[in-house]
Amino acid sequence: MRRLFLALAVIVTFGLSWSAPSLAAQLDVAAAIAAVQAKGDSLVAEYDPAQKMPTMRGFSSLYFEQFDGDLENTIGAADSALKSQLEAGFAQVIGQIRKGGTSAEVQASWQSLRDGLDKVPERIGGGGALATFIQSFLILVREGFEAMLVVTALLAYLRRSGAAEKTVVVYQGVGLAVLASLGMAWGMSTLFSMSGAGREAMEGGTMLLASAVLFYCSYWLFAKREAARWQSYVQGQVDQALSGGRLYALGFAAFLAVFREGAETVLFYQALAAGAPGQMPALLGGLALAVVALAALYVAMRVLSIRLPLRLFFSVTAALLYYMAISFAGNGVVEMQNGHVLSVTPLAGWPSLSWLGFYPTVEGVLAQAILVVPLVPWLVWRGLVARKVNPA
Amino acid sequence: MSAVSRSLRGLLLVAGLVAAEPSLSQAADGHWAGVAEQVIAEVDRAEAAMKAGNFDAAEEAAIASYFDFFEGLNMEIAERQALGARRVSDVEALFHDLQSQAAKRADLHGVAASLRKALRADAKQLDADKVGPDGHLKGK
Repeated sequence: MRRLFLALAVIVTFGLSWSAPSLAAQLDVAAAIAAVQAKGDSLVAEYDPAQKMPTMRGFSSLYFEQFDGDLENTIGAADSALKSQLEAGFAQVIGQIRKGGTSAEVQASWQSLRDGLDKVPERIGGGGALATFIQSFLILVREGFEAMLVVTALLAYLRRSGAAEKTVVVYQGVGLAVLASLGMAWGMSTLFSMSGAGREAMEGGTMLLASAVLFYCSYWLFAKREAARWQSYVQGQVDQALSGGRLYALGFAAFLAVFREGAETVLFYQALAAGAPGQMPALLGGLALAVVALAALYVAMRVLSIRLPLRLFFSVTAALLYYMAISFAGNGVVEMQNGHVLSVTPLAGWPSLSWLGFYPTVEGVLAQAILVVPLVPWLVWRGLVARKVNPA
Repeated sequence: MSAVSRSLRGLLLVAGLVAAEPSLSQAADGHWAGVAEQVIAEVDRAEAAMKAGNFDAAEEAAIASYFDFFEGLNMEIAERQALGARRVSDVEALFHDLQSQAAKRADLHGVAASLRKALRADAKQLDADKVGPDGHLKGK
């Protein structure tokens, strides 16, 4: 029931969002920075101290028309110190030109600003290419592996129950779920690309939704980390279907198991792509490696009959999802701030931790605190329950 | 030095500090009004130069009013902290208009008047909010 609810919630949310703006049309920060650098290079190359006005005008326009606005707000929300440094850099270059500085002096000021611009994609890219690659890899491995566990368990119980001929229904459910997931991914990328306005708000909404789903999943996985509980869950699904004589229900269980993971996977990849602009190669690389890893895992489990320690697997993946929920919450708030949906209240002196999606604004810290603060009382409560059940 | 003389000097020092305190706080209270007037003076220079047909000087002053004064004197960061990114975008759009109009050698009167009004209103708010000269809200 929980899985059905979750799958439906994701579908309904996507359905409601179809009229909303594009994820695909997001601000490509790396491309925007490259364009600013290219224009600056060309202005500096043509600089003539005797004819300073065209270069001065060019840098002023470059600032107001290409840097100011979306790009500046994106940088400011992620790293206000870097934004201030870049603004001061523009002022310095323009000041050098204004006082008729030599070509070498203007070149030196521009190079300093250019170096600062080089830092931008890394600072706002969710921790850089390596972090994107790892997250991309882990998303598919985790989601794919969970679906694989459910499906292989369903098949195994069917065979043990003497109903091996009915396994085809499970395969049909899996096939349909894969098609439905691919269809949803295609639908999101095409339909969302039809609109442009308010895209940051939409990206932020997607990330916050992903954060909420990840938070729920991390709890669900943690609660099911005992192998016995997990097996009884799957057995319950099979028994229900067989006893009722409703084969379609079995196929539907397989469909939901895979489609829920597929829907989540699409959601998480959309959120990851929005939070890591310009890092599509790293994202695709992680995804490709995950496909290979899943295939290897399947072979290990099915052919070599290797049994994975489920408790460890669910504990580790629950922790991973919890980390990603926190990271997506922070990045989601940044996007909402860029879309002017949320205000920006900086916290002076606080650090930026892009790998955690932590950016020093009151709004971002509050969003992440909602996920982090309940952890301590929850751990204390679980400790007390455990002591009651197993007194020393 | 006698005890009486030391006491007198001490009293003079205290009296001097007490007298200086109101003037210091008065200066701090009107900080942003003063900054706004410096920015406006540069905007006025741009407008006057344009009227006089000195186009390059007008454009140079229009650009300097933003980079050297509005940003250089921390008014941009102060507005961002205290009044929000949207307000900064509105004011920056006016500066951009001023620079674009100057580049086109067009009349600057309208945009300059809007800028003067915006800058004075924002300075009043920043002073009322007791925003420090570094652009940050006090206590933050």
